[in-house]
Amino acid sequence: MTSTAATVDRDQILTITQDVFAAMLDSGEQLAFERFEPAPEFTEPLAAWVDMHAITDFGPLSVRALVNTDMAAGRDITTGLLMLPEGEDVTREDLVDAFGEIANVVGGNVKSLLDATAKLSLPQVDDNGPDSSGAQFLQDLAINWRNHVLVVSLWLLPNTQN
Amino acid sequence: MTMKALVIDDSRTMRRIVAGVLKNLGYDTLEAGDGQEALNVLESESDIALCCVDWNMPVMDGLTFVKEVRAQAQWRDITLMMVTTESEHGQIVRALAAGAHEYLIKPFTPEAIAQKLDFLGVLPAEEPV
Amino acid sequence: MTLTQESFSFVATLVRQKSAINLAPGKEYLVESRLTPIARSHGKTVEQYLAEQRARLSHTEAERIVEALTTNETSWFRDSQPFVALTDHILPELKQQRGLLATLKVWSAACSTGQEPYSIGMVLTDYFASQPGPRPVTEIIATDLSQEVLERAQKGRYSQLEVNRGLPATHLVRHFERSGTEWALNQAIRQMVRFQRHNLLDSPPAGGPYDVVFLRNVLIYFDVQVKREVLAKIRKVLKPGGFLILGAAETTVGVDDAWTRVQVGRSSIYQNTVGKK
Repeated sequence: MTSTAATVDRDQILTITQDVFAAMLDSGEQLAFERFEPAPEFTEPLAAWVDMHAITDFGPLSVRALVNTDMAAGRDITTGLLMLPEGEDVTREDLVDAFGEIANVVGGNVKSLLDATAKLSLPQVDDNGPDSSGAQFLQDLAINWRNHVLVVSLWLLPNTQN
Repeated sequence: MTMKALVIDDSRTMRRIVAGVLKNLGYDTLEAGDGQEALNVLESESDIALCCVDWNMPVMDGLTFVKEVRAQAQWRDITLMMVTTESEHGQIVRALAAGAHEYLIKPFTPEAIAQKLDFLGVLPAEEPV
Repeated sequence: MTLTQESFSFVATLVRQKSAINLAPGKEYLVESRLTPIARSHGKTVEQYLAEQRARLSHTEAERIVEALTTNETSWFRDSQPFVALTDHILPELKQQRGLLATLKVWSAACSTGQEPYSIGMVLTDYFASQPGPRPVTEIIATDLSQEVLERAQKGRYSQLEVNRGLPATHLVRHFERSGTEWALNQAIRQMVRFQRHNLLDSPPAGGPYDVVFLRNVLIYFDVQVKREVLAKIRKVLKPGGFLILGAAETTVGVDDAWTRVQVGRSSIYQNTVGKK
């Protein structure tokens, strides 16, 4: 039976995000924790997202996994993931690749919970995030990772012909 | 002689990460962006000992690639490890049934790759040639 | 980084005193990460918690701190060799000693979050499935000092990261089921293992005498005299001809001469030759 997007709960998003950061950036050590205070406004925002499209028993279903953070986090993620010297500046290309990959793996794991046959789009990265008009908010979760804050959110997209 | 590994993933970043880990383990690495490209590399290169394959790729996906490799006697000795976010029980069974030797779920630590390659017996040895 | 130098040094000293482990500067993030759950349980930040302990150290808290920082990520089939030795050498030997293996008792001492005893369970299950004849009644007693890890072990549920550590994919699909973001060990394996809290300095747990004892990477924490005592206690509950498996590179040589080294690759496997026919 296919789960619906509504049954991906916050604990699962938390576990997925923690595992992604622990494995890919912190050598297995868990340094990402749920943040209970409201997320701050990101002065230099950065966003990455993937969309997943499934045909379920109830019709087509499209879900977006979105990660919002700031440039500083993006830089640390990039140097960590691509094994570049810590603290140094990174190219836009590397930033897009690395941060996009984080969204890709998080989204891939969310997809795995939803439906094995769903298709995942390529990750997109933009300073300001996607156009969310028509998208229905499902869940979000704020994370403290090292000295950064990230917000992972899930959105139900209006059904598009694919 | 240095062992060669082929990293197959449609994400350039993921190829970079996996190839980085394999290089640190002593491999020479090659890359391909999909299963078809990977088959082309196998045709033109000799002595590829290991393929790390993503599942979801355009043109030819990882499962199909595994089946294609397994169907060829000349590539009988190549170790095939899937590296993917697909983590459903049934998916793993399918991959192993198709002939993948190992299956690594993303996200993974570099140690996890090393461990899998170790018990597959394909970790490059540090002995002098 | 909210951790002060004083707090970090305090923790490093404590850990060094109670274990062999050296926390070099640069590992502040590790201290912060590992102590957050404990600090949270007291309603404090890590720095607040440590400042308190620095002022007046409670024995219990000292233990908790050291344990939090010295737990290693456990892997399945750790070192692989001993598990191969179990089926390739130990079980055939035991069968030869007795003619028929009606029962098999294994003790996994220092079982942590369960990967070792469950790995043993998986190996034995797969092995006996491939052998003709009736399966021996198998019991695995798994002990550890920490109630917390025993509770986790008992659940038999592991995260994606944990199942990526040393577990062959074939074993994953054969013995586990996916459960949300976790993997749950099949009941058939879980019911082979009985978990119990136990201190190695005490008398061995009931359930013996045992055919095989796994005592891996624990003796290193004891001095020679204590090692001797622990090994002597174990030998008393190990059947004649039974096997002791230590961690890679561990040895009984120079500590206890009643053991005979078994040549099985690079493994540290010893046989109780006292009273052996």
